[in-house]
Amino acid sequence: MLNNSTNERGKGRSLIKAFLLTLPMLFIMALMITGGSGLPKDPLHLLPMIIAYIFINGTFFLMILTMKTDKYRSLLFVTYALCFVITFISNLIEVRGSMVLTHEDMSQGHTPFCHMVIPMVIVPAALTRTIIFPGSMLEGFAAIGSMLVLWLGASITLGKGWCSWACFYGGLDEGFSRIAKRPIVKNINKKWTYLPFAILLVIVLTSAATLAPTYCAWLCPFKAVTEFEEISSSKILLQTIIFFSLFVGLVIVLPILTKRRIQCGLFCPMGAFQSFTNKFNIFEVRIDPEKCVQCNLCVKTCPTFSIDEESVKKGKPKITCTKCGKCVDACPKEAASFHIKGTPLGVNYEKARLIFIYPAFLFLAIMGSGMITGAIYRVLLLVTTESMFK
Amino acid sequence: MVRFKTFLYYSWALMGVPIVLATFMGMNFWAKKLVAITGLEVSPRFTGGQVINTVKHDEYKTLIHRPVFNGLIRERRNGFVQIKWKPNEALLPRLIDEEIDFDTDGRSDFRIRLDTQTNEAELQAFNDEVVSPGEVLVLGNERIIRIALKRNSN
Amino acid sequence: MKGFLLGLANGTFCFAYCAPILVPYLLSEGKNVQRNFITISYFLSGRLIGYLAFAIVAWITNLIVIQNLTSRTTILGVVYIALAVLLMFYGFGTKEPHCVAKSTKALKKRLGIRHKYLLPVILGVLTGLNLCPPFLLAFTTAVEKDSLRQCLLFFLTFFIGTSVYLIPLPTIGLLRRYDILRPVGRLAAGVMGVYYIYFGFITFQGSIH
Repeated sequence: MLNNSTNERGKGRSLIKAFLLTLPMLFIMALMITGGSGLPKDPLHLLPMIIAYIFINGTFFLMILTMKTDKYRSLLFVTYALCFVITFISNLIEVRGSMVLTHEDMSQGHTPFCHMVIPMVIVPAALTRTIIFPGSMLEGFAAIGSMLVLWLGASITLGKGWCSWACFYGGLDEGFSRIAKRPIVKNINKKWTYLPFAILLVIVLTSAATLAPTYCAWLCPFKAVTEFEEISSSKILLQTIIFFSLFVGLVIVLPILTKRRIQCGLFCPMGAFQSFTNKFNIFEVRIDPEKCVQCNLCVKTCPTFSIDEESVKKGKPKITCTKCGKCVDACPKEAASFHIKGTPLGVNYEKARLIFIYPAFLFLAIMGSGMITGAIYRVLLLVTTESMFK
Repeated sequence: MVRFKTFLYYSWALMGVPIVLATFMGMNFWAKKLVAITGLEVSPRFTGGQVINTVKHDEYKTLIHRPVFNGLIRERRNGFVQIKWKPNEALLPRLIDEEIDFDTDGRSDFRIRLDTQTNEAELQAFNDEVVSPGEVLVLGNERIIRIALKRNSN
Repeated sequence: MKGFLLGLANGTFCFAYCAPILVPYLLSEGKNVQRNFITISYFLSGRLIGYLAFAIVAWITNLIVIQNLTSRTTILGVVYIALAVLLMFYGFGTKEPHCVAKSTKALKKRLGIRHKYLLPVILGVLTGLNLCPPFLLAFTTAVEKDSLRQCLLFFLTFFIGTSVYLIPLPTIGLLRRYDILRPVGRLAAGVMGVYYIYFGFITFQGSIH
């Protein structure tokens, strides 16, 4: 099942073997998608669940069968992000009537906590034992405690793989980066790859100084597809213009022009923060120097600028590697591969890939199943009742 | 030794699936544990702080929160005090006019006149620390206001 | 606290531009970590002297110039914006500002071997008086302070903030990180410039209203 001979990836795996390897995922997803409480009777809830189940497990099956990672990961990842937007916005409109976050909502702790806030809350939390975010610790949707647990679990298992297997925003950036056939803008100055770390430093310091999450207030482009503060002053109007412009520029336009994940690779401070988790995560991508012919295809392919000529020579991408598998699939000599730290290089690389993609895909599937089910439900509601809202 | 180390690394890698399952299935449990162990809570700059005094009136209750001057290492000079009005029955009276003592020294610190229909507030300060009223927040039939405070010395 | 955090944020600029020139001279005594710590301590002491001297200048500026200005907030707002643009220009652009550290070689030659121990102290004083954009921004913030004590405290905390990046330098391991820390420092300074533009605008806007 776990072949390692050269070009074995190109041939893929037999159907039976692939099915047997997919079986555990089928059982786990059946449990997770139903929440352990059986199938719903209402067809409006049952049908989305079935579609999501087939789609998710079908994607995984193909990933196992073809021994290719990125194409199928990306399919689910982008779908998850789109469905997240549909589900999140629909829920907001249903509960609040609009995407606008009012001061009343904030005063009641109704703001869902998103992982982007984590770097900003650490210093104040360490010094004051308070979270500088208008959310709820344990109650409601996306409570602070729950999101912290999710993030911890993902960091331990995936490291910066969070950015390609868990983040509900990354799929938007990724989706737009896959639209064009060829990049129009090819040369990007290497210095911009340090911008996420610079932004991280500034937002950590300014958040500690002001005791408010400055990235959320000023820079987060994803407010354009989630929720944003009611425009009640010129300052908030300026903030709105900024985040909307950043969304259009960094998430839509530049990824289309460059075929790279610009927001993720050149801006996101959470991504920069998450890079440090790669230091202790057991999984990594490695480049076998004995097989590598230095064609630099991986350098051109990497969506987050995590590989350059220097890292090819060193045999491993930079700490910003999101373990998406694009370089692994693209490498014509199978020199790039997933690897378990501390184990011999160039041996059992398919085993290492399987051991990595199981928890990674599981994380993505569980996070995504709720959103995909929710989005399909909304679409069905629209088709049957002419409204996406109950 | 090398084989044993390799075995250990593979074992740790294989823990990926159980950790993911434990994360999702036990999310509420782990979240409660995390909060209990760390003692983390939402900053009073967002929650308004604890209620330290409740003044009962015929038609409503006035909840006076602890003044918030929380800073990163020590208290800041600028802060606020949150006042909340809750009706006893259905609605708050049209006009609320009362004096508030937020530092529990027995003396009123400011007088506030709140029109619950237009949601406009007027403030008369009796204490040097009281600066200005903030925006009136409407939560159903309740009203919340934050009064900006400034300490004269640290 | 504000001074300290501003120092931390702006200190990346100092680190990015001055440290690569200073470090080879400061640590040219050898790889002895203890010796390097002593050298850095001399350097930081000199820098502190420079900063506190400037705190006094800021206070005098407040007394003589700022307090007598009718449109002080307008002028301060404009100054913030101008300095912020400069910070962004150096942070995001390719040009480098003048740093006194560039005269280290000449200074070392002048001092000779007899007085070479003075080199880190003098370099510290000179960098403490160096008029680079983050320092000018800190100066602009300090001139608004109400007392000499506050000016001195602000510059002291600013000094501590900027020095945080220099303290671990004596450990050789960090020297290898320059190729990463330098661009991060420059870009962070540029991002801080964006923040200061906003800060300048609200100061300016406040003066109009």
